[in-house]
Amino acid sequence: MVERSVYARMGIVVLALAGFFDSAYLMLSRFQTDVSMICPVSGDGCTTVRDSPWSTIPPGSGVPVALLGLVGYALVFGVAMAALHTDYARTLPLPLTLLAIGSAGVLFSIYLVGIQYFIIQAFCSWCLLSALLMATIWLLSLYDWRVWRSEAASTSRQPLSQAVHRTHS
Amino acid sequence: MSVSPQRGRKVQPAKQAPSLRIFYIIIGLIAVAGAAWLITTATGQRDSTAEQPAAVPAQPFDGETGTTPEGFYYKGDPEAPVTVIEYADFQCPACANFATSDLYQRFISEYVSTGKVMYIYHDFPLSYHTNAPLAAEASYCAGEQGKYWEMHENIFRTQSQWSNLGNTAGTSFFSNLASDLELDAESFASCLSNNTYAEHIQQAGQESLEIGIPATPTFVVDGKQVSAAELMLTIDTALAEKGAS
Repeated sequence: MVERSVYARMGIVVLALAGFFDSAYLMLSRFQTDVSMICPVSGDGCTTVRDSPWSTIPPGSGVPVALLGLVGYALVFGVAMAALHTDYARTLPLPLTLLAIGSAGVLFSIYLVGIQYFIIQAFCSWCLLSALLMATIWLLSLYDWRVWRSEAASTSRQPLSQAVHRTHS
Repeated sequence: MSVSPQRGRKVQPAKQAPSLRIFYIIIGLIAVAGAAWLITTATGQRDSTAEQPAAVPAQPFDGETGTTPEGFYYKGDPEAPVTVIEYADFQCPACANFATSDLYQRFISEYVSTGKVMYIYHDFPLSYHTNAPLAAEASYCAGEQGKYWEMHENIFRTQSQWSNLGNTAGTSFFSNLASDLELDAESFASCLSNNTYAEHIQQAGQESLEIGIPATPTFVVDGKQVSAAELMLTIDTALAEKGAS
């Protein structure tokens, strides 16, 4: 594995962990409806956004988006941790998986930020932080995937005697 | 730099192993710090609920009150030049903030009592506020005995005390609020247990979703959706347009 990929994946792990706790707070706050949320920078925005029907999918009923965040970041965390293990990274298309989850996460974040900007007209700093984390995860996973793809292309061209090395870990 | 297949050169695994171990330690520390932060946040919030004020007697309102043909309670002159519909949820903290604010007091005394505004409260219980429909039912059941607005204000004032209760405890909490208002306990209890208003409230919520109410509380001032912060200004503008300010 290329060393800069290691740093990219480490970065993804750290960001996913931060995103996980961010989502966990947003989820926790749903059960603490009696107290205003801690909401740096955006004032009452967090409570407004949380108490809007848009904080669930589909809006007004259904799954809280914070729960989707918890699951999404846990997945990214798990896959990126596995990708740090050279054994798994060689046999499974983990960078591609990361890119796929990251892309879905970014698209969903764009939807959520759009809702805050256009419909609720209030911003929640924790939600914006999550969008920022997801965008960075996506950039890192794009970079990692490109390195992985070019590496895969070059190793597949290597003679068999050299490729055998990959069975050792 | 790519993985070298030749033995003895660029021994990648040996080079990576220690840095990964340090990385795992760092990840572990971040995880512990994150979990600790979450736990302190959760428990810290629980402590602050103890400081919430108890129910105080509702402010008397000597203007006109009643229900609209759709069954929503209003305050003020039905012929007032401007109509304000509040879409709110009894369990929503921002709604309780509004209902217990100076802004609300001023809204009532300067606009509703003076006949400038007809104020309608339209229920919009959000699905994850599990006690919101019950609270709304309690408000309507008090309304049957002519004390809708007193109940309405007491429910908002005591929000932190009933938000996290189960259904049974919630029911007895609202029954206590009813007896504070000297309502007939028996008819209040049967009104609640028969779910007399459950369907009306559920429909009200559905309707709010359909017309695209973005958040609670949202105020519709003569058809224009605004937040609590914009309420007064929007009313003033609407009144000025009608030459009624």
